[in-house]
Amino acid sequence: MAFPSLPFAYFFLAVATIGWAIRRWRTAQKLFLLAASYVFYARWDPKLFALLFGVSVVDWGIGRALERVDGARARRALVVAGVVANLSLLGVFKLYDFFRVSTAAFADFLGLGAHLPVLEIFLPVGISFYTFQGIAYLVDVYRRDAVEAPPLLDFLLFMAFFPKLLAGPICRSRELLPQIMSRAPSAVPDASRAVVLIASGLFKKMVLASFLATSSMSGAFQMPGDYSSLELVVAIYAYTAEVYLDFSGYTDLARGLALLLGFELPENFRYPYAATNIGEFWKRWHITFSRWLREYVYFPLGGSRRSRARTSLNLILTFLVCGIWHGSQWTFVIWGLAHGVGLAAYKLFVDLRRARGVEPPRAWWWAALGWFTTLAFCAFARVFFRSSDLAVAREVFAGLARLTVHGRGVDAMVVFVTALTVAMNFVGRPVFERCVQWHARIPAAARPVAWIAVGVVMLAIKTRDVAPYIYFGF
Amino acid sequence: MAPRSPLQGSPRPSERSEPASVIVGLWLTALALTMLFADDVRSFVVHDRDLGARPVALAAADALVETSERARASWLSELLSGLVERARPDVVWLREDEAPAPRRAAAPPARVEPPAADGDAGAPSAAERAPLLAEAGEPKRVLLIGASSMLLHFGVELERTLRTSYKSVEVTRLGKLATGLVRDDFFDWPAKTTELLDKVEPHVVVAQFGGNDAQAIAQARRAPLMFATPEWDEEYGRRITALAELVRSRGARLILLGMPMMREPRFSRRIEHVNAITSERAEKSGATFISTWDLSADPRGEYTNSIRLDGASHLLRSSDGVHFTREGAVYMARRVSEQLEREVLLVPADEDMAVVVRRDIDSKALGRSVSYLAYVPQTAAREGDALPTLLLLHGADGGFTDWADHAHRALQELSSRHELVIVTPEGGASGWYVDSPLVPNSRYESHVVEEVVADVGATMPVDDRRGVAGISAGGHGALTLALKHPELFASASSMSGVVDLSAAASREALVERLGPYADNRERWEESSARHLVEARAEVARGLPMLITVGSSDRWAPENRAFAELLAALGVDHTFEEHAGGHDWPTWTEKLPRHVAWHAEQLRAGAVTPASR
Repeated sequence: MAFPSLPFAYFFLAVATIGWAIRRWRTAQKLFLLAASYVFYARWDPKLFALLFGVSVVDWGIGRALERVDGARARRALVVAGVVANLSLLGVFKLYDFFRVSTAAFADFLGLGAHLPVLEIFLPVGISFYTFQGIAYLVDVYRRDAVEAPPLLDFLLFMAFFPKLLAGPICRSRELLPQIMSRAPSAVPDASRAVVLIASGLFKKMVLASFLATSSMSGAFQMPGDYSSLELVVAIYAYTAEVYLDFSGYTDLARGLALLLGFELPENFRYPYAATNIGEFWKRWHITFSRWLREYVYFPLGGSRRSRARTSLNLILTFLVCGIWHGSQWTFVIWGLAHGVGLAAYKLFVDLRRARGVEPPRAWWWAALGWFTTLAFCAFARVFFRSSDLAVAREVFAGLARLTVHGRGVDAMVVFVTALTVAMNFVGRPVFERCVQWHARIPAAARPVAWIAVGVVMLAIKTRDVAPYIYFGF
Repeated sequence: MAPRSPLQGSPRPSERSEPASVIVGLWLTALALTMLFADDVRSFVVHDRDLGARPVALAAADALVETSERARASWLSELLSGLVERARPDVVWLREDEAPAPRRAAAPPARVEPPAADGDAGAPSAAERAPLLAEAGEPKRVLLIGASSMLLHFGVELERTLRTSYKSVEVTRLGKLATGLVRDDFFDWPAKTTELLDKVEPHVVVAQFGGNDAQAIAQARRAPLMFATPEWDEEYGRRITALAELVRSRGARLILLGMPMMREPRFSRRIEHVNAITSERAEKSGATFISTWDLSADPRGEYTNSIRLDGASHLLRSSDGVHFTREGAVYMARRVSEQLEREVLLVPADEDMAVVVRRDIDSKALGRSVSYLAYVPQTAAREGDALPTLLLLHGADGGFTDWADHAHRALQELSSRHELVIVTPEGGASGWYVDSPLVPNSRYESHVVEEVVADVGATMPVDDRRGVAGISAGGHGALTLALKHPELFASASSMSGVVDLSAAASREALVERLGPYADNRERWEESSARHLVEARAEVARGLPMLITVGSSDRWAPENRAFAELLAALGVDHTFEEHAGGHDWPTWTEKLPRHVAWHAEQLRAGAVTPASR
């Protein structure tokens, strides 16, 4: 069930109704939410639920062992085993294709090409997210930084909670487990925020992102040769907008739905396209994921504590992991490396500037330049993210180099929606808060009228078909 | 118990709402929106794979729509959608000024029409014959339409192949996700096709639908037609026919591409059904159906996930088991375009590849319309030079497309290199290239030597030099036809030929056509190469022959005996035994040898034996 669909709406309503009705019996309520989460997941594929359950139980078991065991060597062995287990599971699904291609090439070279089975393994939805959440938990327990001794039921719900199951946010134990382990809230916390989040999520996904995904400019990444350079630029920025709308819209929906069930999920996006430098960008984009990378890859590698050269290397390696997490193709690896190199270069630049005692100019044009460069860098790096393989990416850049202007034509609506998306990154917060306050002032009895009105408008203006979430494929 | 920890980014909630009021409010909203958008809801239910199969759900959806109509609830959403449609600006900047497309002359023939002269009056001379390819003409316009496959890799690669592998082809492509001929409420393909036909004025429309059509057809105010019921079949067939008529009314040809096999068996069966209806209706309404089913299957006819392309193994299908990977799409596009070449005159961009022409003959000898394929080198096709002909016969259980199915590119290349027109005629599944006195409409000998030869002479850039070759039953056919009609053929060759018809006396097809061997020896021997060679030794001595057979071929002993017989009779011949068996890999490997040999014979001879 995709979020913005009819069956899911009724499913959620049913779960919410029963969940709140039985809130006085907390254990039963948690069991019910867990069952609902598994049912939700199993609708995608029944075998997947077994995978999720298995991973959750194993992680919980290793967590318990880590808490009880004292010897440093034993604890280290346990955490390594746990992390390796999670990573191998992820690796099997993600990297099989990557290695199959190279192995097949090698086998052909040896003359064995025809004999290798070309197995095809598809990626279970959500696995990248919950294995990473599991790894975060195990490492936190090892560092004695996690919530102590969660009961099995609570931990299972922590892993499987359906609003965040498919595409995050990746929660740390301190964020979600205490809420699960505590008594149920007696009232819906912050209903206005929840409703505005849901409306925001639906608007971004159903109305804006779907429009961009099905517009004529989206063909630019299949037949780049057919588009003029200017059109390619527009398509690239439009895709950048689309990814933001798609993913942040999903997160908004997830957080709003979770709030309606009585849980607060962490923020995942903080208006990233207003960032004025690449470091700031990664503190605003897919926050829980970049936090994960920082905590569990960058810092263990040494972070910025060692030499400048080592810091740069650590950044590049960290973003190599980022790229591979997204997919086992060369395009994602290059995208990750691009960001790693960009980040390393920026950090070096800032360090050198500080070492020389030079202050950055406080003028508006400096910030504007930073903003423009950062956004352009992200947009053009996304060409690799979007292209199905290197050949297509090459064609896109070749098309850009042609410097042509006229072609099929630039759809003005696409430009408008892209510009609107960027503007949303600047005025988003005040507008959001204003909406929440406005909603809070509506008396409870009149609220459904407002909800229906907004719902009618959005359903009427949305595109005919809603494209699947981009990040469900990761 | 750890206290509730503050989360980043969201301020402390200041509002606490009674759950009951929130939940009730949400239910009211959901129900109101369901009522206001009742039509969309019913559409969703009808076309959902699970819900659509439950009568309860369908009845509920119908009731919903009725209630909604009675409450006149949908006017608001319709009003808004209408407003939005009209208000949405359709502004496009910086579009290239399109040069006005040249008005199309009277529909250019996709195939060659023969001159008015008919076979009996004698073939027109080379000077009278119109060249197959016009020197300069307007580009061939192809319109590709379909659903997600046409939008994604397959469509992209098909467009790319058509554009780059052939001369002067213009391609317009439109693929729309999740569309088909069933869901006209979602996307109206007939309307869009009309628009595209008027805008693009294509010569050929290649359409691929069906992937999203294995679902119920909704009917206004009536129960929907459930998939694969006779009523559904009838309605879907009607839509196919309507599409064919629409395309034909604009002077274009419609080619329908079938859907490939799917990984999930149940879905695959449904798709097979859609393909069946599509192909049946296509035939009836004058459109052409090209199947992609076998292209997507392994030699055992099952779903395959990998293919070898350009010497490396690749994934054929994407992870959903429905669409194609990029490499898979390249492979499919190549195979499909090879088939398209047989239907539509497409000139390869590579000058050294022959062009393929398909001719249809209203055959009196066979009582029906049959076809043959001719591979014509491009220069000859343009300039009308007179080249020798090589008739290439297929084996038992085959058809005129067998050689094209297995060796299309090789034939294009060989035809051009040796400057021969290679013709693959129809020999029937069990025709055995004999005129049967018992089975009606099974006079394949007459068909080939009279009708095909005459048609080739009238329409192709050829002269009287003619050779004949074949495989298996066709190898036998080649030898017998040449021995029986020496005035027509100057060379004959057999690949894994049967050569001694009496050794095939148990074949049911032959027994049907010639009668039981024991009672009809004379008739059998009149058609058997081995016996003909003895009976017409003089003719045989004047006919160059090439016999090849694989050592593991079932017919190897007969071939060896035949070669010995030829030697004993003093008939000049070439006999080659080689590794291999009775299969296509062996035949495609031997093909160049045979073509080269015929080219040599026909050039050296320069005249048919009759004139010697």
